[in-house]
Amino acid sequence: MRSQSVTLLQGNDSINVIDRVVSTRIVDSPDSHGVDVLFCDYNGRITDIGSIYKIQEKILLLSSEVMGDKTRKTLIDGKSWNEHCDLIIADEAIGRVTLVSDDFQSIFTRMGLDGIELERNRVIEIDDMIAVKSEFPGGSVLDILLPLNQMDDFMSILETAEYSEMSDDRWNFVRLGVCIPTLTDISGNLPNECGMINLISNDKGCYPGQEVHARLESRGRTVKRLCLLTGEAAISPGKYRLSNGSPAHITSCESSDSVSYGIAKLRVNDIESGYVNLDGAIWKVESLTYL
Amino acid sequence: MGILGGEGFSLPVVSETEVVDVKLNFTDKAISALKQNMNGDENTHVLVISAQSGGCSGYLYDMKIIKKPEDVGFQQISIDGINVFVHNKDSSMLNGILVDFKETLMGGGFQIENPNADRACGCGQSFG
Repeated sequence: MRSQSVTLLQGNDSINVIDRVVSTRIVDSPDSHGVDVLFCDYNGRITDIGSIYKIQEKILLLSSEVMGDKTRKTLIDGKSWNEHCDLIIADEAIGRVTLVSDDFQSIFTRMGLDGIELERNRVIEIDDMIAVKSEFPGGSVLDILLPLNQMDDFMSILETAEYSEMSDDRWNFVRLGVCIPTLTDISGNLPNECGMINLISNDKGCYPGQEVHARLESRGRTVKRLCLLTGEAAISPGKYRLSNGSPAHITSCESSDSVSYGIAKLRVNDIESGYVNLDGAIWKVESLTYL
Repeated sequence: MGILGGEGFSLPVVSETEVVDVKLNFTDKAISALKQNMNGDENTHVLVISAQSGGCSGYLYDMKIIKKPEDVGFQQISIDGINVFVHNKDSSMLNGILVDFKETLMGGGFQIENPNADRACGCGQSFG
């Protein structure tokens, strides 16, 4: 189960209220489809990341837990006097379970649901829950959203399907392997530095940070990039120097069974070399690109 | 029931905003242009100046000539016989603005200088 900020927006103008403040064009996104969005400040730097689902003519926004109240305030403060949009906090109403597996079909089979075709970002409504498959540089996950009062029953079904609930450390390790970023990894960075240029819609007009993003597209040069580190040594988050003197900022890391993953911001030149010497150990580096 | 029909949802979130008595400033050119746009409807229509999220800097200005709204949340300011309305929710952001009118082929029209803004977009329509 993942801790998230869950917000329900209802009213005819909800989609416009959100669209004005995110970097991703969502006004013409199809129904039953999930869209990942970035919230940025006027300097173009990421302040929050979210996923938007249109469900039953309403909009469900999942955003980071730490920035939840601030993001909601941005939305409600920006509503015009004549717009119809109510924001409803759903943290205590809807839960999110993320499944990491090679075989998502097994859970549906256990629920007596065969023939469900999963497609990236397609929202599948099944009774009181929705399922969405998301893809990341390191693999796919299946997000299940459902009423919190049905969570215990659903967890029982998962157990019978031989899924097990991960500890916080195990989840951190798994999500690093799949390359799921948290706000800690990306906050304060420009989208191109995080490999999230696909979450910028250059055709949508003005939004906070748009001027900076437009300049980055036409004239920008990415100096640092978010990357995945894979190695054997344990390391802690923090700022380091590579053996060649270049800076390295590790934002998340976790080890399990002699494998260590980390998300770090490194100079592009260092990432292109494929391997870096960090804190006395060799690490494989791969830049991250989110589609 | 559906995922949105269960328990635990809050009441709609209400924004707590500071409400101040709004003062507006208009240049002679802006008043002249406003009268021209009102086209004799001063008794039935009002100018509403408002702010909403968006633009490069965080907020966008909006100006509309509409029939007098029934919403009780507005402050009414008379500018040379024309009723200008500002909603209480926008009062702290728009108090003290100077509305000007520029006649140019590109980028002309009403322009707003806002003493409450820390920054503004080059196009003049966005502030933060």
